[in-house]
Amino acid sequence: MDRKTEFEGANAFIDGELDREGRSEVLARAARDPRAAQELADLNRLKAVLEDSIEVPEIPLPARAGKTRRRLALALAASLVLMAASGTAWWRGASPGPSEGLPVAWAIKAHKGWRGAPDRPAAPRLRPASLMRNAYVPDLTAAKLAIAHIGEIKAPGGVPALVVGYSGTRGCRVTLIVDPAPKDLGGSAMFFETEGLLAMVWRAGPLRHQILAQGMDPTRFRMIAESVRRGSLDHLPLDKRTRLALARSRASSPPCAV
Amino acid sequence: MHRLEDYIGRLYRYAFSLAREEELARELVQLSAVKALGAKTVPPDESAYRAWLFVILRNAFLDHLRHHRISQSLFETEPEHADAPTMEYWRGDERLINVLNVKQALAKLRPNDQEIIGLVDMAGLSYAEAAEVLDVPAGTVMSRISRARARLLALVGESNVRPLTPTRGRQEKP
Repeated sequence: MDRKTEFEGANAFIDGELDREGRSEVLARAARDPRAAQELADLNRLKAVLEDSIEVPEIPLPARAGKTRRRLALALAASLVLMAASGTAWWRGASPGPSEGLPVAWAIKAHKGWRGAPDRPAAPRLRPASLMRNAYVPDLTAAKLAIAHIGEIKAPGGVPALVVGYSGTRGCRVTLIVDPAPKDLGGSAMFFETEGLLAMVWRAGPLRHQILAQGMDPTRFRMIAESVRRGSLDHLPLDKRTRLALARSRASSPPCAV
Repeated sequence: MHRLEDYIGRLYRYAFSLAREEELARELVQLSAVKALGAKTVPPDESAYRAWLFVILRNAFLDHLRHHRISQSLFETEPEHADAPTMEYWRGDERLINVLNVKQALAKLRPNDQEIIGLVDMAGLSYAEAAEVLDVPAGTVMSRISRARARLLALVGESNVRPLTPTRGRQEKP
């Protein structure tokens, strides 16, 4: 028997893959050849070490789809209570409200406008220096959202607004719009939902931030929006804990309904 | 869920052998769980179910490579005769086969070798189950695992982390 076949036989033996005849052959060879016996012992030891070489962390798993929806609904209800307690407002309607702080038609148009763009990484173009100096453009790759569009539109009054489009792998599109904040925009964040479009608006210093998504799981959207908001207020990258939470939220939520 | 929970550890070890990082491995397991739980039909036979779970995870990893435009050539099949190790008996110090040396050597293996070790040694799949995951004959699995272990042992043998040998004249503490 050639060396290759002998070695493969030894491997198959320790893996429990040989029939009785095959096992007998391997054992007979080991009985007459100390080298073959040591080879079996070493392969066995290697296999045992490999089995224990990876420590398995705790991995939260999603419940079944029906239970997930109910759980998400409960989580959303709980988050609404928290938002009300923290001064975050929730507005729901068939059309955006007229207030200066709300995502008006131009923001929704900006959100829908880039969705037709091909999914490819965007090359950043020059932006108004005043906007880019303070604008917080987060890295959302932890939520499996990559920047696919960077553009500029004119907000009402001719003021330039930065539009950053994020694209996910399951049909999700998130848009972040940054422009100078209107004077009457307060410090609290506001959530909106209209015909499947979710949005959050807040002030971070002199800038208004609006984040929008269509057809996204509300709990997931809120987690993304709150993470971006906190980051914009601190002007720091998302920390590891937040990144992990975003990844888990994505894993436990359904794809976006587009 | 109970049936799936039994395989989480094994799925994670296989995922780690592919991803080589904890966060991506964890995400692959979670993604696979979502897909498995959402599947309309599930193989009733335990062995088929096991292989099915690992196929889901493998496909999730390949999707990840595609999405991030990472070349999948790393996982292209090598010709069965190419670069076969000599298969000579290793003759290394068996004390070198420890977790530290093996983990270090594992990181140096090519992705194909890491994957087959991930399936057979870390996830505990049979040759037939691994063959189903990889879509190759069971005999190919045997060849690949043998070659991968031979390469791994060779790398372990090159390890510069040597067990201490007692100095002559001194008594070792028990």
